[in-house]
Amino acid sequence: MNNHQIIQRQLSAYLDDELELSETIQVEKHLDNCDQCRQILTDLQTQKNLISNLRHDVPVDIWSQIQGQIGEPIDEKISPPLWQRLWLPIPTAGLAALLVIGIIFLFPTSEDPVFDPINNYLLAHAKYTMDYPALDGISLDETAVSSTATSEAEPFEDADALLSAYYDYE
Amino acid sequence: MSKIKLNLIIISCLLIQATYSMAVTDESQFFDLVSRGNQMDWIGKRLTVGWTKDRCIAFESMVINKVPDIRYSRLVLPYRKEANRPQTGKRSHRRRGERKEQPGRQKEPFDPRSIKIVTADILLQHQKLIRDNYQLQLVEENETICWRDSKLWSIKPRNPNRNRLFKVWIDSETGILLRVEIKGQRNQWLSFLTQIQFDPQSILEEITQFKALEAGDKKQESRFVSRSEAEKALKRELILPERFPSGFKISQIELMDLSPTPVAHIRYTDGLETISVFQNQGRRLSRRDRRDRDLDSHDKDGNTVVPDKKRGRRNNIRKEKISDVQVTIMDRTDVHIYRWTRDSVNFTLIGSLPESEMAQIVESFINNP
Repeated sequence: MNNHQIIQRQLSAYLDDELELSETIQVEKHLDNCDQCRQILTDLQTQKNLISNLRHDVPVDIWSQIQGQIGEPIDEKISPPLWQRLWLPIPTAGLAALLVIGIIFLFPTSEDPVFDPINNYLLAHAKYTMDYPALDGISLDETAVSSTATSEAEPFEDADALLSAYYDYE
Repeated sequence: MSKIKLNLIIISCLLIQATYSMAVTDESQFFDLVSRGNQMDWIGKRLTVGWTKDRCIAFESMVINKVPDIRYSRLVLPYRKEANRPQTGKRSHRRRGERKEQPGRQKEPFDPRSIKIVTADILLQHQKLIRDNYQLQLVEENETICWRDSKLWSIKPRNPNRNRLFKVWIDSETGILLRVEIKGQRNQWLSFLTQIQFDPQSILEEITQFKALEAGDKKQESRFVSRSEAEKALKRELILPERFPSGFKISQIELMDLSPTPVAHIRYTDGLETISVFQNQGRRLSRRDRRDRDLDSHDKDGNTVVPDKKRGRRNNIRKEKISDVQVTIMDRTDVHIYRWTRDSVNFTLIGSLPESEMAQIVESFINNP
């Protein structure tokens, strides 16, 4: 492919401002010295102007017409033959089953469906820990625990706050 | 040996004897007072404030003590009207005391009523252990707390590697715990009692109110069992460590009915400190574990380090090998959590002892055939 052909392939993109700066400079440098390519560019420019002048406004009621057609009920439903009705669901169901099996194998769950009892453990530990929350009898009513969080804007909503503060319970 | 030397030795012995006697006197006086406080009928309001590195929480509770066995506490402040709180999802389930069954990761509903500590009882129950493992010292004979004369004790672990510090102010006259201060590695709790009343009529009225509240409250009973009962429920022998840090003894074994297999909770105590060991059988793989696995990275020593991106602060999760077993270690404010699996048995160890001691416990579990 010679230099003319390379430049001529880029002319359309040049007209649409789609070239890189280096390519633009290269094309313009070539056009300065090449009448043939400059002529092609002029032709392209003319065609582009002609095409752009072909635009017509969309009729105002075009969408209402289309919507009317969409809304019309189809009187005749073409029912497929019986063998097709029976046959088509089989591969569909097979594919669905394969998909489910694939998901199960790719993303396995534990026997206990991903239940992590760590928070239960922390609670059980806290229940008999001397330093939680302080000495003497404590039995918390969950509706009545407040907190002020210096690093978080929202106050805690319930007694989880106690464990949250003490154990980073989540 | 010259007479002077002999006299010096005698004086030294006498001083040691005197110091020891004073310490014993301090301890005896402390337990006598606590015991007296436990035998008093009283009601009072207790303000509790807790600080951690970046949080502070406070609440006020009404406490009641009526011998021989009534001890209640319920929160009174801040009071929130039920109607003001949205009853949605998890919280509404929790309020009704139900467990919301749903697939995926579940959070066990937190029943704050289950957290009940009667420290005066615990202090008396573990008197011997506390005497053995802690140094009780009468620091101040006469300090005014809540307009009452009190004695201040400091309770320090005898083991120099442990650093939990307790300060307890006890009413000189009644023996009620007026104020308690607990300092851990990263957190601090302070609680103090106000508006103490000894009026029998008021106490009875309060008890009536407590009982009315309790009647509508479905209580969760703990199942404390013997070792053989636990083994029967688990259908295998309990695995216990070869050695445990000095001063600790098994205090209770609790059976927890958690899906899919029951969990044995073995609690060790040195009187004031608690170490919990949980063990159950079955595969353990949670979403968090999978996330941890995905985020695995290694530190300069080759240990696996899993940054907890959600928190992005102190709560790193590490994975280390102890006696050739992969152990996941989590730090939660003042407790360390160690988790490992061996021969299909899952272990979780929770405690506030220094990491070196916690790692020794894990090692001792692993090495016990």
